[in-house]
Amino acid sequence: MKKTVVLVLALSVFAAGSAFASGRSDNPGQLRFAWWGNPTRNEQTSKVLGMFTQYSGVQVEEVVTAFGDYFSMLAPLAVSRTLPDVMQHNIPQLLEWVESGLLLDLTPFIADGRIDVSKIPQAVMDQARVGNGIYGIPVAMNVSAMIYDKALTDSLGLTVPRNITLDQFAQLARTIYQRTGIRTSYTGELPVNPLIAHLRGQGVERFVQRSGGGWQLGGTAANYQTFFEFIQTGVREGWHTTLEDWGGRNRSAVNTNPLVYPADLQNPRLRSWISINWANQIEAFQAAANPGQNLALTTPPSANPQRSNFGRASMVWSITRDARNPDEAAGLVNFLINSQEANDVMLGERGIPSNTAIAANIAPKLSAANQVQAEYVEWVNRAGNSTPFFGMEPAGTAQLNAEISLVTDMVISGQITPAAAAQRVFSFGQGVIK
Amino acid sequence: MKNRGNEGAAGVIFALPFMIGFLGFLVVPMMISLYYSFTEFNLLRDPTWIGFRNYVTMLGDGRLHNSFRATFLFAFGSVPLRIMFALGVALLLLKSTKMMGIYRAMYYLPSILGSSVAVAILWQRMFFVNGTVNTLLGYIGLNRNFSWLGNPVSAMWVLILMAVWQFGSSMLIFLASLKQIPQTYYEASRIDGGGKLRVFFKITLPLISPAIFFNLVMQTINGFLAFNQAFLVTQGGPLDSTMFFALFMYNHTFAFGNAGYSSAMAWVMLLMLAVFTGILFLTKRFWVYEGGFS
Repeated sequence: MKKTVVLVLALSVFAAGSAFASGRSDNPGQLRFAWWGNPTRNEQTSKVLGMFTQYSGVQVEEVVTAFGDYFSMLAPLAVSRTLPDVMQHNIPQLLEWVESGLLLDLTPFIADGRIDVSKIPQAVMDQARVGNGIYGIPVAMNVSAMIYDKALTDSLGLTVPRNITLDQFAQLARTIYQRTGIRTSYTGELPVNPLIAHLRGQGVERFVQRSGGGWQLGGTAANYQTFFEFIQTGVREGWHTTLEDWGGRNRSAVNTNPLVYPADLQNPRLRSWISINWANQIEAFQAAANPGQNLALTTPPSANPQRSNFGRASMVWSITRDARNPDEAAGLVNFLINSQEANDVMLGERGIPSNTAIAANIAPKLSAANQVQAEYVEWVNRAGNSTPFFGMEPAGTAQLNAEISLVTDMVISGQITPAAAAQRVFSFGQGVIK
Repeated sequence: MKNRGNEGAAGVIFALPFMIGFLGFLVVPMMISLYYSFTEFNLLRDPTWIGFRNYVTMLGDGRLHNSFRATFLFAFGSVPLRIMFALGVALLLLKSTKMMGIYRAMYYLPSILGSSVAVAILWQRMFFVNGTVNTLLGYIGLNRNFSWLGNPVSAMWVLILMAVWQFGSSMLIFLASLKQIPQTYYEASRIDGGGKLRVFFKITLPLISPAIFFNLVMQTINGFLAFNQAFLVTQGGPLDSTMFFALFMYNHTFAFGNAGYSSAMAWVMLLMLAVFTGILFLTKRFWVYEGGFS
């Protein structure tokens, strides 16, 4: 009897240990697939994965979270070598993952046709190239953008031009604030987005750039100082949102963003008429918008928008080092890229598909918001309206972005001068990026 | 003799799950973390040995020093208030009435729910500018546009208030301790003409001092390790005012890819906790009554 008890106990411990150790799909016919999303994207992606299971017989386990937690969630899985088979990856983080040996080179899959990229332009494919390898298949093209409340500007008789300059932008912000009390969230979500536009408009092509064997910040501290001075002017004139206006709202959440949060409708002080963001976010913003709010896209303001505008692959599908079934993983990637049925469901929510044939086929079926996105992306990518963008970032960039966010908030609340803020960001950046 | 051997084996078997858990989930990870604290480690690649560099970097890290400041403010603000509040409610709930069981359960509820994500988000929404708190303040003619979570001082107090609200576990410990005090002490005091305040400070408080000590130690440790409130309600803002040590450590580990640095931070926090707990134990003999009730 006692021997039986010991055996049962030992087996229980072993079983518990095995349960902890598992988490990756070793069985053929099973994949794990990770993405970051929003409610709209999550619903569409689940549906598409169901279609893939019907098509291939391969079961797909979903690993999904918001963008803010996505790479935090995956890093421990990298340590335990239990990364999902296929993951949605982001161009800025791609380099670090490739250099850490966590992603498979997809060149062999492309060479033998398991992943068909014949309909994706070479320039787009090159955005996921590191050395001689391709480490992700670009899902869609995306463009830096300013989402704005067109219903509001129309009602005020104001026109928001494409290629809007900083002066035009400040004048619009001033007018809207004076006439309605509604403010402008220029740096609300992620200050690095308007900062990149600002720097590129001043001729600093890359925010972070290679230097010798390492990396350094682009431009000089003076380039950063003008950015902070612009914010300071907005705060002093009253049109720029303050920390009090944000009032603890999560900066990356769409549903409580001051551009669309319903609770703020009655309080102009808490509203913003813009969000400096990405073009593909318009679908989620429009879904969260209030009835009657009609959102539109224009270019982020800068001294020289034709130079600051850029497009890039919004994200890529990558197969990880821990994939136990690379063939089936490649099959899923191929399905996502080339299946008309799958893309009829996703309909450009991740951005206008990089597969040009699919992009043309889905164009008439896009939602009104994505029609706006498609037109805008096509316009920005036209010759003369934008310049190329190198999207990969070195290790330390996330920490630098956090510092930029903090320092921007300090400028807004008057705790630091623009000159000191610029110096702090610049010297911090030179030390932290590797 | 054979029975004794069997009993020993049974003891080992029954202790085994704990021992495995203790070693596997505490001792071994701690040792690994100690090793990581001397390395540069981003979770994606193998760690590289860098000696004491992480500890030296901590000396000049302004944001880290600020996170210490925020953590101390939170711990020293929330712990005494929570203990006082828990003791006050425990004294109220000492009386035997028909509804007392329901009251006790209700007051304990926030401690169970308080750490949940849903309640944290509810708490956050309550303190939005357009939230319930300002709406209620508006009804009584006060400023209904105050940005509780957009102001560094009030944001900290919102989190302290949330921690104080979760007083249930401390309250139960006080309640159990209060019930153990023999009624004869109170009767004798009443005969001698002792007033309520005098009875409280001369009889009740000294006799429940072991419970106060226990709560103080446990709640101080919890206060230093606070994470959920800041992560979910304020995300460390505004201006890093609620960037608690544990949240800062989390950011370095998972968002910034500095797991080696955050391991060093964890060891410094462990040392600080050991020092504070040690100080509390040193003061114990001056104010904690351990003589029993006989």
